[in-house]
Amino acid sequence: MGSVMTTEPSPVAEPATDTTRLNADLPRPGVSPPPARRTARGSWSRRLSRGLLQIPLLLMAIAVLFPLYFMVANSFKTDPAFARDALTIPLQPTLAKYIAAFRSADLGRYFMNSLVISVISVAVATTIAALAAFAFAKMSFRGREGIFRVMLPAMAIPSIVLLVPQFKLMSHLDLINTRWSVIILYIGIMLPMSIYLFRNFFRAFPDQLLEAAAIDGVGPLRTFIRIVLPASRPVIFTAVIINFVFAWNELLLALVFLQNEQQRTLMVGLTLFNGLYSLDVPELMAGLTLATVPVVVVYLIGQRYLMRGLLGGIGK
Amino acid sequence: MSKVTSESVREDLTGLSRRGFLRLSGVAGASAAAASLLASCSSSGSSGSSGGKVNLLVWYWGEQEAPGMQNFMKKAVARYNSQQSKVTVTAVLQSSDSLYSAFATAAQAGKGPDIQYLWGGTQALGDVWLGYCAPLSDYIDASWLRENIPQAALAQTNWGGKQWGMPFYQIGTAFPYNKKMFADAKLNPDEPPVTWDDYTTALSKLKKIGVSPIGAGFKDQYLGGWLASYFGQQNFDTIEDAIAPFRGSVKYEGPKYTEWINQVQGLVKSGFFNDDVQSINLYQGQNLFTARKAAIVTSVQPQITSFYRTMGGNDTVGVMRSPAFGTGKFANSFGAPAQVLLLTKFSPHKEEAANFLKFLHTPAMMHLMYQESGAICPDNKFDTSWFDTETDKTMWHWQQTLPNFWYQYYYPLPFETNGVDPGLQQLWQPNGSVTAAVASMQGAINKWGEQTPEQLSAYKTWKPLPG
Amino acid sequence: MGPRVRPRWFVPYVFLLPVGIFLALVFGYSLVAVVIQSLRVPGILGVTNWGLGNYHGIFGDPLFWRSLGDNLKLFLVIPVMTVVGLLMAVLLYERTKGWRIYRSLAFLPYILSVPVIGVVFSYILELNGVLNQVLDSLHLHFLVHDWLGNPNLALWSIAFIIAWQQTGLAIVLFLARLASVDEQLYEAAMIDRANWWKRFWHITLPQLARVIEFFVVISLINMLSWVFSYVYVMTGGGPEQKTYVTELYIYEDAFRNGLSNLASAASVVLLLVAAALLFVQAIARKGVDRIEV
Repeated sequence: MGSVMTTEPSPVAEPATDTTRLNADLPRPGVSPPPARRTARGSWSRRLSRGLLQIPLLLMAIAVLFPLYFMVANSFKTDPAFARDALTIPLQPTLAKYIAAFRSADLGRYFMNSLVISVISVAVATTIAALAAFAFAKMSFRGREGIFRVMLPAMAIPSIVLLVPQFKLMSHLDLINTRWSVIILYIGIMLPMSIYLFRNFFRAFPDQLLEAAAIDGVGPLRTFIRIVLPASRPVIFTAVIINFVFAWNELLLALVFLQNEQQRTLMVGLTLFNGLYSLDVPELMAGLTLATVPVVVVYLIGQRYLMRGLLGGIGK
Repeated sequence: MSKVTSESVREDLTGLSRRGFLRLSGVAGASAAAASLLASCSSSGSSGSSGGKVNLLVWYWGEQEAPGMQNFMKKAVARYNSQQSKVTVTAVLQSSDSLYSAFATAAQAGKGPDIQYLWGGTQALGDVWLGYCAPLSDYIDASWLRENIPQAALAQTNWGGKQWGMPFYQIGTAFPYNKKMFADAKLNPDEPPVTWDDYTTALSKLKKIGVSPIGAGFKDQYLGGWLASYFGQQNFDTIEDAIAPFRGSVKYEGPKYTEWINQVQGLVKSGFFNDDVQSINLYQGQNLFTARKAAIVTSVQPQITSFYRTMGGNDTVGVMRSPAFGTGKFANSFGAPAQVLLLTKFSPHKEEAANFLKFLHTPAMMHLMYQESGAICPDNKFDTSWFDTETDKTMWHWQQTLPNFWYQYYYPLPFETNGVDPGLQQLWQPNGSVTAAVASMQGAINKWGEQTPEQLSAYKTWKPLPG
Repeated sequence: MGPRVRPRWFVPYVFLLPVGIFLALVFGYSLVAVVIQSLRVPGILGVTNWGLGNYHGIFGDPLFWRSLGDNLKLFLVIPVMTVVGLLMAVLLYERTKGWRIYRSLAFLPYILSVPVIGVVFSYILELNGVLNQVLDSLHLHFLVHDWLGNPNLALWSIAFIIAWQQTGLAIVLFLARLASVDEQLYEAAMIDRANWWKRFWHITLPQLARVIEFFVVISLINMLSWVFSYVYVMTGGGPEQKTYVTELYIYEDAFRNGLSNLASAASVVLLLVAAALLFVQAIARKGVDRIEV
């Protein structure tokens, strides 16, 4: 792993081994020794140690699943059933709470708002971040490292700091209570991390291919679109997932900039459930589950690409 | 990976970079245009006028503490809009978390609702002192206010010679209690305890039958204000007494100001609260009442009305006032704080907004509010024949016959969040002490004075109306 | 074949332009505005003075230092997340049975919304909530605590929940890096008869050093600037204001107490701390680079 002149760690691997190998079940040398020969004593202790190794993973699985189970299971209970027992699977599951959740708040509209905002902001942010990252990775120009290093700490600026100045600015631009206000803010916030991610991936892109294109007389934009992007699907998916998760789950800015019922997002709608005196826990859980399903779906679909994206590399 | 062919190269030889650049800027230009177009289209819910018509934007709250308030507002707004054609009102329900933050942000940007709902008393005056509001009395005659609104309700947001808040609905504060549990504990279900000693005796008997005598939740730090307002004013005779420590003229010490903390500690140490007070929120504590796990909870009139309507009426639900240990005039008082609607400083339609506020005080609207949400509009024209619960009648009687005072609406909010809440919370810890609680409260007063000297001077010049 | 195209001088800047516009709009403007506002000290009768009064105000407020301190306490969770993440990543890399499922589960918490998790855990961690119920039924009574209501425990309960979410990121990052470590390194070590621990220490860890560092930096930034939602939803800063993080301090000042100038000063301090952290990290990095093979 050569040490290129970087000032920050590369989160993704350098182009290396064939990515398909991760999904293969071939035994290969790794941290532990290859499977031993089958002796009576060897296989016994092997099975035991293999079993022991399961335990931490099992604990992790329980820790991950338990809160989700709590949320989903209780969303199918009636109030008395929940009051009786918050722990076990509902004996008489009911959709009543989901129906009530839809009726008590305009969840359908909030859902659409969240969807529109997330999709637009993610699309724009990912596109322009990729463009910028390509410049940082493969072009040389004055101030390249400087600009990059100044841009990076923007990740450390919490939304709360942006709140008041941005509200004033958006008011001047007459964008309050329009979905564009949060779209612009989300794009801005997503950029540093996305650029970071893309840049590391692009750095690993073989220069020879770019040279070849240049020699052929292909301009930089076309090179980028026709050559680099198609090979970058994994990192694009990675960026899309991380950004979508951010936009979909974001609460504070959506709360302040989108006050109207018409523009309200799903997460904000949920906070109306959990107010000062409201009490319907199963209905609250139903609302929370509804808000969670889209992200989980996007995750499960994009998982494969996510893994490859974080691996980096374009294969040989 | 697409193949770069010599044809494609030739076609883009010189012009591509330029074309790519143009394409990029074209996209940028188009999206900017789209953005401004969308912006103008979607500001339907904002304040302003269009074609001679006036649009009023109202940000309100109340659904959580008076369920049904949202329905009331929808109907009230619809009726107002249909009755006349010059003004169109839009009302947006806020969430508890964003009620103040959204208004503060809007006010600092100078753009937002025409009418803002705030919790009353000093919780509204805070924003008045910041210059976010316009005085009501500049747009509504003093005589109208005097004739229609009870003095005690006006006094809470009357400052500097002007009336700022229009009382919207009141939340009479009292303790609903479970009559059946009282009977089981061999207490008289129709005569709840009035003195402190009777109270603690009753609580021990309730504890013996296996319920939580008092149900409460402190985690979200709202309970402190309630406890302070039920118990902390019992040695006061006048509003002056209450606000003196915040003028800087007396220290927050001595029995007059701090005896009540001992009483609270007594309740805690005797185990009269539920065991998970610190890990549940206010409303969860109140829910212990409907779940029949607690005998007495803190509550407000609209909620008590809904308890009454859902738990079996007069046979199950009774209401009691805070028991008295203090010796001041306010030891036997009834707190009926009024939540208010205010005119915002930056509204371009304050006249129209004031008219809408008056509309909410017409008998038809007040009756509708009570029917939809059980909440009472503080107004001399409120007709008591509308009441449909015994608890409402009882509390109304108290309101008419006892001094009305609600401590929370007279002290500055930081006193509660930085002083009362942490100070009381530590009483639940093994090494909790009253001394530490008092220190916490005085410390909060000091810090508030230092950090907001303009509020301190506002207190110094406050001449409260007689309570 | 045509002549070689040399990129025009302005091309990189064109690529950067859209990003530049957004960053200037969202961050540049905000930073300038916040710094300016932090220097605005309101005087009596509405007069505005300029100076460092707001900084005096927050530095003199014990609550501000406690807030910063709470953020720093959260840093202590980072080594735990890193070690646990490493452990899990190694186990997954070993293709322990069912590793694909575990791998999917590992990242799941990370994609969930913080307010959603906060609310759900609030219920689970109540004194009479399901966690304590389970512990009771397993006869582990000594483990039953008031997780969010005990002032000495609340911050650590929140820290646990942050770790619950963020460790998934560590696992996935480490695993991805592990999978691309050059196998010849291991083969060479095997020939030398190096045991598991030696291989781990001398090959795996150094190869992972950069990813670990990346994760630590991201986590430091998170603990400083992205924990507001957890605290706001689960404890509101309590009990006894012992889970007050700096973001909450800024929020309360700006929006509950009408003290936006103080809030701006606190924001500036927070950003300076973050910048200092990143600066230290960059320097440490150069040191590590020199040691690294």
